Amino acid sequence: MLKYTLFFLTIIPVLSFAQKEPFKLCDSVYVNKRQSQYYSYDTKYPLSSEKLTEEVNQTLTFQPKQINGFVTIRFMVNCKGQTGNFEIYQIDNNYQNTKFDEKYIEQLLIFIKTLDNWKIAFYKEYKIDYFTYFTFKIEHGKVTEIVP
Amino acid sequence: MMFSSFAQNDSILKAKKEKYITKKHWHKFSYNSSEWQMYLDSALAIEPKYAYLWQQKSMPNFKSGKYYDGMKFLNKAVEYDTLAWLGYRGFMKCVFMKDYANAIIDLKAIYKKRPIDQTMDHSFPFWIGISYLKLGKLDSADYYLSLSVNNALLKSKEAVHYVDWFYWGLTKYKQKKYKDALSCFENAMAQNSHFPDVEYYKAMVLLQLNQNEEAKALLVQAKANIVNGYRMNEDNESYANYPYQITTFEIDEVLEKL
Repeated sequence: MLKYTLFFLTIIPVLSFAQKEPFKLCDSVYVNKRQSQYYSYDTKYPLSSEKLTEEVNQTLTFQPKQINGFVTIRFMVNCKGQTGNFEIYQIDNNYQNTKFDEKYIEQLLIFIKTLDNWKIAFYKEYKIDYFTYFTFKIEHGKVTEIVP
Repeated sequence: MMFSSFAQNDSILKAKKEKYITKKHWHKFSYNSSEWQMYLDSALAIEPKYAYLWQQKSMPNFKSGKYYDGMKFLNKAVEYDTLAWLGYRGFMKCVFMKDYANAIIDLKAIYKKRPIDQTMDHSFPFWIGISYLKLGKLDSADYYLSLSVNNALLKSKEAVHYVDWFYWGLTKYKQKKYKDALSCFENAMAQNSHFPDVEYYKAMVLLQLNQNEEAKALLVQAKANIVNGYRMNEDNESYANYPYQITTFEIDEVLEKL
């Protein structure tokens, strides 16, 4: 049963231009216990949700009217502030799993890859990797909200 | 013989309830772990209609943006105890999903059933009001936020939450009712002197009134507050930005123009 679709960025060569060196986890503290979450380290992306929403819409060239729902892209930010290990979850307005046009999803991934101001998380003096995500609320192909 | 067997089974069930439910065995693990879900499943095998257990299963999913599972489990909680969890579901739709239109449906329904209660430190009209604010329905936002503030004022001025004042003021600002907005913002600041969002939006009002120097000073103060770690003082702010919550970026953007 296909509950959700996973894309790993490494298999989408078109996106590789955005990051020069390959993504690697580099956490030396929680190497075998990768459960650090953005909210435990005050590392939400330092732009308001409203500003991010405005910016993502400026980058979307493909906005099919039939796309309505939520796309969550969950990923890791490593100790260097780089992003990788992307997972994608898609639901419709009734909160049921669905699958939107891959071309549309790719645009959202590219947008995340272009963000370059991720906060570094610290445990004591050590830089650590952490999970974070963006959820895009979409109405007729336009992003109307971004969580968090 | 049969009686003895029943008694033994009853004793085993009691022991399992004590271990898996009463002592919240799942709380021994991180809520992001598989053990958290597994021990909740064990508890639900004993008490399948215990709404709180379903809410506990849903919560980590919402905090990870996994709304399909989060909502599936939370719907179970609402099904088994609507009075306890409908308002919470409205809150989750409002803050964790920014799905304001659907949040309003839940929140209005629970407000009818529990008019004087609240969830996450705020009245149901408060959550309805900020949902309308985000949808751009300013008259409705004004109505519900004034309801939230005025209901609290029946007790005392101190009973009004400063975040209620803030969002009512923000609504007034967007309605271009600048004098009313200033009054609300000043009430918020009287209760919390380290509230960068209210300082920023008060500065926006002052700019509309051509009081540029006072606005600039407030923006500088707002930025200093953020740099020093002050935020909108809400329990769930670390998980999700609240509506119109600002960052230093927005402040710098305005300061550069002054």
